[in-house]
Order: sequence, then structure tokens, then C-alpha cells
Amino acid sequence: MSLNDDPGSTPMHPLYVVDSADYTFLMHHTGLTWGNLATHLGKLEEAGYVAIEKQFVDRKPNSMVRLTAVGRAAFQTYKTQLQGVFNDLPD
Amino acid sequence: MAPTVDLERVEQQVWTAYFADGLWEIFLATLMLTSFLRPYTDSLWAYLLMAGGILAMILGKKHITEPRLGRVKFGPSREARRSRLMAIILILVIVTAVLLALAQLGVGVRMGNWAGIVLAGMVTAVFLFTAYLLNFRRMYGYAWVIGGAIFITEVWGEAAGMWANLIGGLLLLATGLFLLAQFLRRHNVPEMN
Repeated sequence: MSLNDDPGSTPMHPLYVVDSADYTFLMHHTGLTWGNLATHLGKLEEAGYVAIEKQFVDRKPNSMVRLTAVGRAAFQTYKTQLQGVFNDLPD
Repeated sequence: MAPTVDLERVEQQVWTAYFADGLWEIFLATLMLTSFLRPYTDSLWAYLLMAGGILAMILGKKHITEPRLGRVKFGPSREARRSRLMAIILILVIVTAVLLALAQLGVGVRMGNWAGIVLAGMVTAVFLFTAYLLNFRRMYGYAWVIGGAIFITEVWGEAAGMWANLIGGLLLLATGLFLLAQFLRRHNVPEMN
């Protein structure tokens, strides 16, 4: 999975600007369904880009997701590359 | 073409989404309406209303906002701003309390009628700092409404102050309820499978 798969709906953007967030937050900011989001996050976790911490809030399960150092660095590289592409385009 | 993303704007949008539920307005309205009611009723009822406002804010955030927007922990810069806000508010509260205590005791500072005006200024300053450090723009307006009501009470007397508190409180309550209704219309509790 690459970071620019449908950039509008990747959970990487909202995770990059916060410390950690739960699934509801990420669904709200990506427009993904729970199932799609879980698939996205599973692949990102496999790649070592995100860490998912399972916890209980008021006796209900709640998973907090955060970017790992590797994920943050990968996103920064992606961002720089994307900016480079646009800077190279003629006006 | 892949869209470019202004990440600072994303962070700002994420942050301000948590102030779009109108709960702050409802809480501030109860503070002003408490000030309006206090001379009319037993202080206990007025303070119960204030406690109700605090409870509504805490329970509302937990049962209305969080299930719709989710839980999020912001980055270190936001946390630093929050700590600075707490420090500034604490300093202003201590300075105000000391000034008022000295004025009451007649020690050192002879403020006379100025005590109330200083209090109005301090309260306005607390809310202005809060607005600045929380990036909560509507609160700049609320700071003047709340501080203004205290100023009116001190300068033109309690009757005028009660009207200022009633009008300000009702305005804030109407704004809060409007924002809450808008928030509930816009955000459903997402389905979890």
C-alpha cells in the first residue's frame, strides 16, 4: 500500500496533524466506512506506519491510532515529493 | 491531479470542530444567567444553575460530541498552548483575588469603586487569553459580553447589570442552542461494525 492511494481518504493526513486518534475521528475525517478504514489501517500497521493501541473507555473497547516515527518520516518524504511535483509544473 | 493538502489548515479544522457543538456557549450562558438570578433567588438555586451548566458541558462533550467526532489527542504544540493558558488564567485569578482582598482590607491599595472595574477587566482578559490560546474566535466576542456585563454592574448598579446579564445570557444561550442543533444535524453517530 502506498501513501498516495486516494489522498483524500487516507488516514495518514489527519494522523499527521495530531498525536493520536480513534476510529470514529478517522472515519469522520476521511469519509471511509468502518470496514474500509480497518483495512487501510491494517495495511498501514503491517507496513509499520501506524501503531494501534487497544484500550477500554467506560468499559467499551476503544482503539487509539498514532503514526510511528517510520510513518511520520514516510509521510514527510511523500509530502516533500508531492510539493516537488507541483513546483516543477509550469505555470 | 492529486489534491495538495494544507496540513496546518487540516489541524486547525480538526481543532475548531470540537468548538462547533455550542456547549461552550451554553455553559457561558448559565454563568451569565446565574449572575442575573442571584439577587432574585436564594443563592443556592443560582449556584445549582451554574453547576448544571458545568455538568451539561462535561456530559455533553462526553455523550454528544465525542461519539460523533471521536477521541483525539492533539500534538505537543497544542498541549503547550493549553498549559500556557492554564498558567496565565491562574496568574490572573491570583492577581485579581489579591487586589480585591487588599482593597477589601484597605491594605496598601485603595481602589474604592475601581475594584469592580478591575475585576471586569481581569475577567475580560481571562476570556480574551482563552480565545487566543484555544484559537476559539467566537470567544473574543463573548469576552466583551461577559466583561461588559460586569462593567455595567459596577458602573451603573445592580439593576442595570442584571439586564446586561439577562440579555447577554439569553444571546449566548440562543447561539449555543442554534450551534448544537446545527452540530446534531451535521454529525451522526457513525455505524461501527
